[in-house]
Amino acid sequence: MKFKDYYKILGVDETADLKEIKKVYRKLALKYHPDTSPEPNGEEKFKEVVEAYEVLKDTTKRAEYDELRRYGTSSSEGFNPPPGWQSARGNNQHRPNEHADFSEFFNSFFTDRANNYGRSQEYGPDLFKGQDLEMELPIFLEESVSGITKSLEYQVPVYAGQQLKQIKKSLKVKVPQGVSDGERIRLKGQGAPGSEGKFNGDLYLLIRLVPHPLFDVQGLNLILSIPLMPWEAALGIKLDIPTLHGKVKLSIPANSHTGQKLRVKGKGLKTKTGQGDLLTIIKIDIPPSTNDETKQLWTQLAEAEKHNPRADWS
Amino acid sequence: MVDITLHIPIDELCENESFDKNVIIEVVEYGIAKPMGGNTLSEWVFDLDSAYWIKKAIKLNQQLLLDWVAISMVIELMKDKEKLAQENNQLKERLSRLL
Repeated sequence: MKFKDYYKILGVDETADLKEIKKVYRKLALKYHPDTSPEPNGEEKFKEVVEAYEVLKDTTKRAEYDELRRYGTSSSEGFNPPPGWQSARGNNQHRPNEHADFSEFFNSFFTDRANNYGRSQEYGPDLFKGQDLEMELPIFLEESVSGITKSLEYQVPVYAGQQLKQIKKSLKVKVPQGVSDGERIRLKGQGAPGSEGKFNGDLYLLIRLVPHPLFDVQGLNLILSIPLMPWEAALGIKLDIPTLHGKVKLSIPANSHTGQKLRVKGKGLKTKTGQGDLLTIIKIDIPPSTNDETKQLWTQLAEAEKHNPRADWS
Repeated sequence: MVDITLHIPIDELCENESFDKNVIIEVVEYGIAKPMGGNTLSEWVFDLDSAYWIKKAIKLNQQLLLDWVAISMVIELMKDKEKLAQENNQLKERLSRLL
């Protein structure tokens, strides 16, 4: 086990009072907080800072830590507490309140008294709740519309004695109809195991919609881009356009332009809260190459059509 | 087949995360999350998105030692940031179809 110099981590003198420790902690916690920090290894540093503060803010823990620091010895094989020191983990087994984010050093000497970030004390001395897990679940748009049964495989952290191991777990889950991107689903008791096979943590699935080759999603509406040749846009055309439930006919009016939107009512996503539409957006395409005949026709058109799209520039 | 849940009652949330109910009341009072149902405190039920922000808010309170006014503002900005990032991705996707 490696010794942790909490004073060094916070960058304070060992005589620093609680006010100073708190001030430095807040500064470092803000600097390294995983939600905001651009620092490389910010999350690791944040955990170290929280661990150091957890010990140094508490008078009793700090006194015990100072004693360990003063009389303990470090060698290449690790840190040895002073002779006769009673470790919090006397029997070398995983303890209920052990904190997964903190070091082995912390969990060996201070775990039982950790409560701010530790697990619940309500389960009694030998019972503890397993960790909640979160994973992303990519699903196709069609699957979100119809609902689907998915097979999941994920890793669950499990303590075997003192060692933390990752065990592979698989299960089947029915994803309900109408789930949207960013929505969460809770699978009760499918997280890390708690004590005695009870009090398991939960598994949270974060729904991620896989980008669709044709449709974009905007709330309950679907968006479809319709590529048109210039003459189709100029003359108008009747098209069979794709929807999530087969093709429908759509009349494109004459003189349509790029970016013009046409709404197909009731062909978007359907959930308990409502029914969306299909919004189509026109995009004018140009033939990739021009032969002599079409070039001549384009020239004739240019001579016949006097519209200047850049008239505003002058 | 595993049963899914799309909400969490206050009792379960407090038990799972070792939260005090008074802290949850505080989070609700500051508008960080609101229950989707329940007339009395013991009947409160949260959707999982609200539960996620409640956990985030309480962690920020513990880790950064911020008061609830500051946390409420931070959470509001984080929600906006998340929404804008999602919108940005959607718009980029749409733009790539039009170009």
